[in-house]
Amino acid sequence: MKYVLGLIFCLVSNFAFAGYALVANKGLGLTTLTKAQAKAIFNGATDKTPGGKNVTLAYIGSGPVADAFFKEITENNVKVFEGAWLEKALSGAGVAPEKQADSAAVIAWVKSNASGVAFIDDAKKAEAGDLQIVTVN
Amino acid sequence: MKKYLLLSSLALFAVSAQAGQMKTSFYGYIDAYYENVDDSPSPNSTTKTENAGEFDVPNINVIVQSSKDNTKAFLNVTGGGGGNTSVNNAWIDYSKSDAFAVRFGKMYRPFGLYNEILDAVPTYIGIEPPELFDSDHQLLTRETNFMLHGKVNTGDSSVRWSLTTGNDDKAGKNNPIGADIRWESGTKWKVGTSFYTTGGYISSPDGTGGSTQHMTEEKYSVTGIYGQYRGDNITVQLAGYVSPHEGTRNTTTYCAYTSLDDFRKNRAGCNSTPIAAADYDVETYYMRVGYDVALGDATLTPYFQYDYFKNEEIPFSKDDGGDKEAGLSNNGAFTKMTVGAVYRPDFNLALKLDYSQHLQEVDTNSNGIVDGSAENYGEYRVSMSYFWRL
Repeated sequence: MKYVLGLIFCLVSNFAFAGYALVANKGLGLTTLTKAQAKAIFNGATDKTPGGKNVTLAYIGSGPVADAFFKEITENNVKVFEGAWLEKALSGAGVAPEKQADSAAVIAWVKSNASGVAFIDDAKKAEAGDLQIVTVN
Repeated sequence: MKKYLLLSSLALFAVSAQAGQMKTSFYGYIDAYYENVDDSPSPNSTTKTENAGEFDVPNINVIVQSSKDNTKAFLNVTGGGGGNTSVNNAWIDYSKSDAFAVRFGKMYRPFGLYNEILDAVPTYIGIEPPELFDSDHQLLTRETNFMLHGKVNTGDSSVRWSLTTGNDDKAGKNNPIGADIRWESGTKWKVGTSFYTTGGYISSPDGTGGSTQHMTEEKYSVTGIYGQYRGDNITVQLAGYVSPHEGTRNTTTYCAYTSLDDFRKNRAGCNSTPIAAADYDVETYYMRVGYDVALGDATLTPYFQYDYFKNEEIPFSKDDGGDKEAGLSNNGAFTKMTVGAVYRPDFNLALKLDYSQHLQEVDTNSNGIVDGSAENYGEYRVSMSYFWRL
């Protein structure tokens, strides 16, 4: 019984703490976004920061961090997100975000993209180095 | 195709060499297809026509997209059918802001849910396009050459607008104009309206777009509304269009068509005094519903589609610029119901299978009286499509 309770606690606590952090290349000068602005960027309604700089996106394609991000920001799941962006890419309405394996890959990608914006596991923020952590209000 | 790609890539990279922040992406897709139509009825005959199964590769597309600051270039080259290569889209877009941009070149007109993505079969749930884009009875041309457009973000949602003109149905001094305005809430909701007019009479229409080749002159417009809901698992699409036509029929040509049924002959006065003035509406609407079922990393999406189309002017035989669906029906109307499924083992590959039933009244007896009987026939299709990105 003790082990079962322990397992349930681990699962619940893991679920409870699955969170994301939005990161951006410091060159963009992006420090805060409203949820609506983040939604507009990740759904392709705009390809610019509120300051008018072009953005390029990346994302993690699966797992609890991706689930939490898409549920809260794009308000759909990753398959809908990918499908909508594929339509945009094939019709010239935008360049589809680049899929990355995990937070480490996202961090490396954002560092190498002057216009890069993406999300990572909230627990990996310390590894983001000189990337800008973007506050989403 | 190689030549086009090489030239376009060189052109894009040549500019790229001068500009460090330019981003260029390459996409492509292939759609292979098989269709088998059951034995189908014909006007003026009780004998059904046998139809052979048909393999095709309708969409082989390579796309290059490049952007720098506020400028974008887009190239979509197709080798559809595995034969001739052609450029479907080649345009340059300059945006002053999200709300205002100019696009110049050769482009698909924003017009409802499908016109801009029609070639991109991997992106949607069915195999066949909605009836308004069936090349045998298109409602309007797909391409245009100049567009003013923009997007206004309003909190959680946005409004996208566009105004287009180009060669379209241009002949003589008419100026075709297209417009589309849609409200989008993220990826969930899309609701809009589209409009198109030939801007006057097209002289000597050649049967492309919404025109009919047996007219000496013709003008038409198209107005429609559309909506889409895309939830986590469910996709629902609804759209309806009406297209009023006015023209002058070449009755000598029209009445000589051997595949005309009694309805069309009576309507055009072929058995008495031929009537040159043509005034008719083309109508269509459709509904599409799909539901995603997760199978591990794969997805299975069963879908249902309902299409209605009506064009009472169009003849049956393709040799006469006709259509074997609307031209078969004794009032130009038919419905098509389709059930099928898409299986995606991964996001890049789509395997589709579906079956349709066509229902219409057919006049199988040429006796001067419209005495049609309800006829139906089926067809099934298989499609395999794959897209890639570099």
